This record gives sequence, structure tokens and C-alpha cells, in this order.
Amino acid sequence: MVEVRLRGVSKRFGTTLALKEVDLTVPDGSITVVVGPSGCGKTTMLRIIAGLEIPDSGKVLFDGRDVTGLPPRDRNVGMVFQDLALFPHLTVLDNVAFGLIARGYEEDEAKRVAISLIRLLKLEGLERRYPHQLSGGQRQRVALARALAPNPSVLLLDEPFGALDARLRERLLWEVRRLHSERKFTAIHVTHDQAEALAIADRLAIMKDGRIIREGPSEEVVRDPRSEFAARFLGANVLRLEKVDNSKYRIGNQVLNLQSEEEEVLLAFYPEEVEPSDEGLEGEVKAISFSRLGYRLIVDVEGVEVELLWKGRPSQKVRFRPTNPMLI
Amino acid sequence: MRYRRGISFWLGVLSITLTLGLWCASSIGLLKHGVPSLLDAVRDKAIRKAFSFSLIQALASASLSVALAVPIAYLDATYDFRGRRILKAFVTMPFTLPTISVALSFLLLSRKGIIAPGWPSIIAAHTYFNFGMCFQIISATLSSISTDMEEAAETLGASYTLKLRAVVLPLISRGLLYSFTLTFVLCFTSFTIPLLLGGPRYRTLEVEIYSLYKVFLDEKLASGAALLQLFVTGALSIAAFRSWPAARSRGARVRRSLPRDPLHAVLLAYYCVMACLSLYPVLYLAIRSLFNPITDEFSPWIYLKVLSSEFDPSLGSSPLSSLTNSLFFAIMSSLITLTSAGLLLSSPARLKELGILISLLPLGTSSISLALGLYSIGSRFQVPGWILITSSHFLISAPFVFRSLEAGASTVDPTLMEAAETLGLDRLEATFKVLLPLILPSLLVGGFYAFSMSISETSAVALLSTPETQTLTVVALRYSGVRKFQEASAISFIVCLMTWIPLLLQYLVERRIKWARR
Repeated sequence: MVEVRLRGVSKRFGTTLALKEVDLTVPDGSITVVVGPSGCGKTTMLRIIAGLEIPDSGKVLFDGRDVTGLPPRDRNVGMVFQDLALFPHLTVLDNVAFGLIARGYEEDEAKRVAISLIRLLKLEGLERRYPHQLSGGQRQRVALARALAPNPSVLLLDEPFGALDARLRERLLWEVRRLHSERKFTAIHVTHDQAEALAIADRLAIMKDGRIIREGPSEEVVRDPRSEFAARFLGANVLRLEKVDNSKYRIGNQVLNLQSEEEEVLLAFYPEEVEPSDEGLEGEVKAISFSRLGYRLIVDVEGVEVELLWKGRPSQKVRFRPTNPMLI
Repeated sequence: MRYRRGISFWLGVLSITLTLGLWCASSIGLLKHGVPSLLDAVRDKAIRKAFSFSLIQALASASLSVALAVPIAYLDATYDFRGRRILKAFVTMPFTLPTISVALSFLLLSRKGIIAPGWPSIIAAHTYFNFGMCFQIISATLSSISTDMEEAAETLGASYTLKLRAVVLPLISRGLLYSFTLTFVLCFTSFTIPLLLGGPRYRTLEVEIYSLYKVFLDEKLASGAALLQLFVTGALSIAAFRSWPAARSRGARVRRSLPRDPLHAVLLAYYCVMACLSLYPVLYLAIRSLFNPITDEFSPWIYLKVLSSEFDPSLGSSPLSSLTNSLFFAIMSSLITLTSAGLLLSSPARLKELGILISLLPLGTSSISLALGLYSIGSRFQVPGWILITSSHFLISAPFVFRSLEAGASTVDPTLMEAAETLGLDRLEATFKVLLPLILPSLLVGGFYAFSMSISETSAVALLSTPETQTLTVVALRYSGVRKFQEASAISFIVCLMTWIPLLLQYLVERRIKWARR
């Protein structure tokens, strides 16, 4: 296990600045999820940590040791690629043993360790199969086993579960969690899916346009996103309100009590953190869908659409109050 | 449910009948003298010697072409660097040259003492001609392998050599095999290069068949030798076709910037040297065409002389008539090939598959054997020579044009045709109103390709033509036969230009397709 630090890392591709002075600390043994929209630079950052790209400026530190110029093979990282990159001409066993043989293990020893990984990932019986003979979920497990076999200090996951259905993705995320607690490594996972991020992360880092705009323990980031972009990316509704007097804030013709000194505030709240209230905001229901957790509503509040998770059966108009309002 | 057989079905049948009929006619022509001619050929010492030499020189040329192409194909498919496209254009250029131009330039180089005459110049010319094709095939195979494969190996701790040995080479092995077998077949059936460079001592089977028929007038033994060659090239073509490299991974290959280390500097220097070597023979040919060794001065007037309408006794006709012959055969064969391919593409799926497979049959037969077969059967029915030459050019270009058109058509979403049919069009109407406009660029590319192949074709036309029907390539061959090298060089360079113009148009059309898809 190592602590990974990025210090002022920048990377340019032609005229595009992919990373701008990125600072990030990934504590020893944590699972940090870097989340952001497509093209925000998260994969570039992961590739720089792996040594597949060299930054134009800045440093990559593993436990304080500068590894910026080191090739991937000298960093002891394991990486699961977005398209998995399993070697199509090698069997499952040979794929998993590849990294061990590359690191100088004797073939018998490499195969023994590979078989233990195959067992750990519940792939017994598939050792002699080729990647094209496996299901999507089995291929993901092989990719995980291959990356973990050489016992890397850092495991890098580049959106490897994106192509799977929700149920299988959830199971594999739990698998990563289990492996993490059993084998102890530092993990960095990048994804554009906030639900996937929250399912696995100890720590969250939110990226936008090549910068990390919020970083910290996942609960802290969720409770206090600190920017409209981060709040929206995490699934919160955001409303802009103006101060009327004291603790009264206005949106359109409606007034809400909030504790703030600012003249204008952004009120963020998650869809599930609302309750019916006569003193809250009123909105017109534009669309309804049913889920096991309640009714999902799209509600028009003074021209702004918000999403709510409503416990009871809604009428045409609803009045609600955020139970955990976040002021940005 | 049974499909009603509409007009598109019968037009497809017509297209298949044309290809299969001509190929069968050629094969029947070769079989005219039966199995005894084959046994005679196997027993003949000169044919056995030519057969052995064909095998040995093809093996050497194919091995050398592939070995020289691998490092620069890897460099080109993996890294991006300034000047990459121009270097690529230079190294692939020789394969676009007519074989007569390659043969003549190497003959001139060997007469100058730059290359040893005989078998070394044959192997050098074959390697020069096929190197670009091997480079293209290997580079294309590498391009279908996701960069992630190599990066995964790197993150797993693999060294540069382990990565190449355990990941890259196994993944491109089919591409290597395919380029080797294809080059082998092309060198084994090569005619113009060994004819000009080999002299009486180093004769390939193709040259032997030509000599038996044209010089010794022994049609029976020539047919036997052609049958022997047909078996070998047929088997090799099947091997080449089976080793066609399928895309191994779905991920895109992203070119990286070239690392600044000694290994890659050496590779880049090698790439530059190969690009310069690719240009050298053709530049030498162009310069030699302007140089008159008798007056010892440069003059461009030779180009007017070689295209004059005056009768030239060494040709038996005027050079200008050979230009019009070349254009006539190229236009005729392109039109027939395109029409036939178009009819086949509009036919039902199974018939189309069968037709494409049949169009590949001539690939397993050398040009000389095809021509000899067509002549044998044509002479019995008094078929005019121009029909035989056009037919041979159609058969030679069909495998390439049909496949390229099919590839273009396969990019069209099949539901578009189905949508047109549900909107009330029949299959033929849907082909004209939906499929044809969408594949028009591929159709033009196919037409240019057929035109280039016909213009630069030497072997079949050398065997089939008379002074009245000879083309520019045959004229170049005749001029070099009577040691008029300046005239031969000028004609060869004109053939080069006539081949390049359609290829340039093809390139511009392909750019247009890419632009349209953007």
C-alpha cells in the first residue's frame, strides 16, 4: 500500500489542456473515486499515475518518492482498462499469470499464484478458456484478477464496469470492496457515474475541465459539495434564492426561511431529502414515475425543474421543504 | 416462405455467369491438351528448373519484404511524428507502380552496376515492389489492435522485448502470414520482372510458359506448365485467403508521441532510408527517360517521339496506337467490371456471397495462365484479340474491384434498403435510389482501381496482343528488348503517370467519403 500524491500536474494534448495544475492526495489503503463528466481529464490523470503518460509539469509521488519519470513496469501498479484489454491469444490462466512472469516469477510459481487469484475471483473451471469464450462479467473478473495477481501497491480502475448492467455492476463493485479489505491496496477508480462512485468510495474527488474542484471523504463531499457543479453532479437539485430580510429568502413569489448572511444563496438538496410542508416551496408536478422507494416527480418551482422522491401519492401541486438543505 | 425471384436475382445470375464463364473458359483452354500435358511439363527439365527458381526467389523475396516492413509498420501504427504521412506515402508508392516500370528501372540500375544482375536484381525488384504492400497489411493489422493491450502489458511489468514477443507478435501473426503468402504468390507468378532481369539463366515458370508459347510455339507444353502453376497458385491463394487477418480487438489504436531514445531514433532513421530507397528507382527511370546516351544530353522531346503517330518498324505499329489501345482496354474492362459488380451487389444476399466468392477464383490463377487459357479456347472460336484482352483484364481486376465494392456496400445500413422496400420500392429500384448513391464513392474508387490495373497490366497483354492490339506496357517491353532504353523509360514513365492519375482521383474520392461521414 502506498499514498499517492499529485502535485501541480498539467498535461496538454495539442491545443487541449487536459489537466490543469491538479493536486490530489490519495491516502494509503483508501478507495478514492474520481468522478466527473466525459472529457474532464480523469482518464488522463489515471494514465499519468500509471506511467502511461508523462505530465508536462508537476510531480507524481508514491509515499513521497518521485515516480514521475518512471515507466509503468517500475511503479508496481495494476490497472483495469475501460475495454479490459485482455490478451485474446492467451487463456484465462495465462492472462492472470502474465504480470507475474513479467516480474520474473518462475512459470510454476506464477501459475500457482494465478490459480489462487482465479479462485479468489470465483473463476474456477475457466482457466483454459480464452477471453472470447467468457461472459461480460467473467471477463471483468479476469481483468481484475490479472491486475491484482502481481500484488500491486496501487490498483487503478478506468471505468471498467461501464458496459455492464446495473445488477452485475453492483455485484462487481462489492467484489472490489471485498478484495480491497482482504488484500489491502490503494485503489483509484474513475467513473462518470455518481451512483457507482458512491457505492464504492471512501473518498471522492470531483473533476471538471481538467481540475479537481472538490475532494474529501465521500460523506463530507456529499454533505457539502461547495459548488453548484459538484452538487448537480452528485444528483442534488439547485435553486437560486435572493434575500428578502433576516432569514427570509425568495424565489419568484415564494419565500423560504434559511439561515444565511448572504444576499443571494444557492440552495442544494437531494431528491430523497424532502418532506411535505405547508411552509415550504410549492411546485406543479410535470411528470411522475413509480419506484420502490416512492414516486419520482419532476416538479416546476417558479420556472425551475426539480426532482423529488415523494413518499405518498402526489396531487397536481406539491408543497415541500428540504430536510437537509445545503447552502452554496 | 419463398421469395419471388425478381429481376435483381437474374441480373445477379448474369454477373456470376460472366465471371464464372470466363474463368471456366480459361481453365478449359488450359485443359485442352489434358493431363498428359501436365505430366510432360513435370518431366521437362527446363520447366522443373524454372519451377524451383520460382519457388526459391519467391521465398527469398517474400521473407525479405515482410522482414523489412515489420519495423516501420510498427513505428507507423504506434507513434505519431512530424512527416509520418509523407514517409508512409513514399514507402507505399512502389506497389502502385506498373511492373514494367519497376523491372525497367532495376534493369537500368543493374546495367549501371548499382545492383548485381541476375537473381539479386530479381529479388531486389520483387522486394521493392511488394515491400509497400506488406507494410500496409502489417500496419493495418497493428492498427486493429487496441493500444490498451500493450499498455496493459506495460502496467503488468512487461519489458519492451517481452511486450513485443508475448503480445504484439502473436496478435499480428495472421497479418504477417497473410502478407507473406500474398507476396509469395505475387512473386511466384511474377512475369515482367524476371523476363527483363533474369535473362536466359534465371527464368520463372511464368516466363517459361510465355517462352514456350511465344518463342517455341509449343502450346501443349505451355498448357501443362500453366496447369502445374495453377495448382500451386490455387493452393497458395487459398492459404492467403484463409490467413486474412481479422480484427482481434475492438478498441481503437491511439498513436503516441515518439519516445526520444536511441532505439526509436534508429527506427526512424531506418524509415527515412527506406522512404528514400523507395523513391530512387522511379526517379532514376524519369531521369533516364530524358537522357540520350548517344548525344550525351538531356532532352524532353523523346516524349513527343514515343507518342507519335508514325509507324515504327520495331513495333509493327505506331506508338500512338498503343496509347489508344491502352485507354480502350482500360475503359472497357473498367466498365464491364463495374457493371458486373453493381449487378451482383443488387442481388439477394446469398447470391451476392456466392458471386463474391466466385470473383476470387482468378486470384488463384496467374495472368499468363489466364491469358493462355483464354487464347486456347478463343482461337478455336475465332474470338477477336481485343475481346480476349478485355476479358483477361476483367478477370484480373474482378477479385479486387468486387471486394472493394462489397466492402463499401457493407458499410451501408441494411435497414435503409428494407425501409425503402417497405415504402413501396422493389429491390432493384431500392438499389438505384438508395444503395447506389450511398456507394457511389466506392463505385468510383473501384472504377479507378480497375482502370489502373488494366493500364499497368503487362503479362496477359504481352501474350495475347498482336502489333494492332499492343498496349503501352508491351511497347515498353519491346523497346527494352531492342535496347532502346530511353524510349522504353519514357513509355514506362507515361504508364506510371497514367496509373497515378486514377489513383490520385481515388485518393481524392476517399477523402470525400471521409469528409461526408464526418
